[in-house]
Amino acid sequence: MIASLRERIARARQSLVRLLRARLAWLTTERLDFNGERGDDYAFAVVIGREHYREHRKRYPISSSIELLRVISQETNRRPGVFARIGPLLDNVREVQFFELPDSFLAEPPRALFWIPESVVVSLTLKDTDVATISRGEFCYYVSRSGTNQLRGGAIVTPELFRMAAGVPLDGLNREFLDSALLPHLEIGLRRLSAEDWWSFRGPELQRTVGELWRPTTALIAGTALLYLGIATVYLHGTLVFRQWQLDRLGAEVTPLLAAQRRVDELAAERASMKSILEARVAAWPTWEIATQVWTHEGSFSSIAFKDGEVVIEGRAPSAIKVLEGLDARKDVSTARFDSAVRQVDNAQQFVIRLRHAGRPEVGRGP
Amino acid sequence: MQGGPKLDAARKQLLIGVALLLAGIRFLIMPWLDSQADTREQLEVLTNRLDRSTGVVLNREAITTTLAKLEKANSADRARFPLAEDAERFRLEAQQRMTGVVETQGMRIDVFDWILDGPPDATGFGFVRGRINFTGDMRSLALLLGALEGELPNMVVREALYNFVNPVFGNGEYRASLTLVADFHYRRGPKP
Repeated sequence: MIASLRERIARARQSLVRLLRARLAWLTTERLDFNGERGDDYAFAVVIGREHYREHRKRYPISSSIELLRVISQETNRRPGVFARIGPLLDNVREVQFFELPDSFLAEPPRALFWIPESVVVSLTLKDTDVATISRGEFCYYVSRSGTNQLRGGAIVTPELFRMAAGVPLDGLNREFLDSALLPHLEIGLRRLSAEDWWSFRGPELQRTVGELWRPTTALIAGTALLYLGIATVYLHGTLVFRQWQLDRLGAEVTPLLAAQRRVDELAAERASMKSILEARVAAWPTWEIATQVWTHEGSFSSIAFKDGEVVIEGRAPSAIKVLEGLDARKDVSTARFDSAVRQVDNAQQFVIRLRHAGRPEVGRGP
Repeated sequence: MQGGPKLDAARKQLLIGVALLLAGIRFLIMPWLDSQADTREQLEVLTNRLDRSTGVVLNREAITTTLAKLEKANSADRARFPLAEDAERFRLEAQQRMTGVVETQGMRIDVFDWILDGPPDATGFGFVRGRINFTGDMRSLALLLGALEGELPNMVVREALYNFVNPVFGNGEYRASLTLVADFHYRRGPKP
């Protein structure tokens, strides 16, 4: 059961990955999706082969990216097919990579939202000292981790020569990718592409859409917010008027009834206070009725203390235990016990007995 | 650089836009939101009032009946607690009343000491605590305690300690002292 479920999840995952790969394309002399199949379906992103674009770099002493974007926009005159990738600020200078697609390419543009240069994607899969050699038939180029790349030809005909030209240490790894063997690495590179890079490589169609839509979208959001505020205001005021009307409709008897309710609350609180005082009032006079029990056993007492409902009798008797039993047997005594050790003094036993009233004797009856 | 004036114009447009946006938020949206918050508070108060009002109208009979019952029950118990404007005046009154009861029993107070003030609670009930000493024969002291508890319904005895000069073997003439610690409760308010 569980194995079957796992199998189904694995199959569903594979189908989903296949579906997503079908929406990523690689455009060289032919167009392949990331499943390795030919086709011209509309893609989320297309990786554009190095043979299709020219690349150059330029340094600008501008720290603000927004300012730099404006300058680049002025310089390129927003020409379609030109992508700029702005590098980090180093010594108050930013290096910008420009990728230019020829008009012949733009005549039949790839159908995709994002157009990503191949050299950028490959560079993201490399380590700092690696150099990759990408070969497709007669076409071949070298690329390093920094994104620097060079078509084979002229003085640069081996990866080692490219290393020297690009300033990459000679002891690094040379990696070679032939034809479609590059596809899995492109997928890895795409995952490592930063959000800024995705934004830089938005295709002309997406650029146009964003340019056209941002104003109406902003207006829609602002309008919705204002509409919400308006509706909320109308609701609040309407409800306020309605509540007032409901209150008025209850009539004039409400005010005296509210006053009566307040009076009930006050009286209930007063009652609770009085109850707590009266409950604390335990009569002390019945102490005498209890203490005289000592005499019935030929005993005497020298002090009687009453404190918060408890009575302590100090005295002497021929048998202290008989006095205790006599007290304990009384209905008006709940607990009686010796409060300290019984001592024999001459012919009598000296005792201290502590006891508690069983009930709550009525105060005011008197002895 | 080419395009400078264009850049300036774009920047000016952006700055004006931001200024207008901030002004809109400051002078339109914020006051609007504040006004909504006020209205919401008013609505909450009014809703609570309406709930209370509806409640009292629906429970008209119960309120009237409870009020009558409480008035009757409280007025009986309330009479136990004398009205006093403050603790100072009440102490004097309580001491006078106690002296009166003691004198009718043919006794006298040896020491009267106020030891604690219990401030009035939310319903106006307060108390003062006193320690009082008496001496006399055993029988008189026993009768005195009963008389005090009977005559002073606002008095709550906390402690009563009898000490006898000689051991007490039965009814008879035994000299003793009584130390009483008691709370005298009162209601704060103007005297009628």
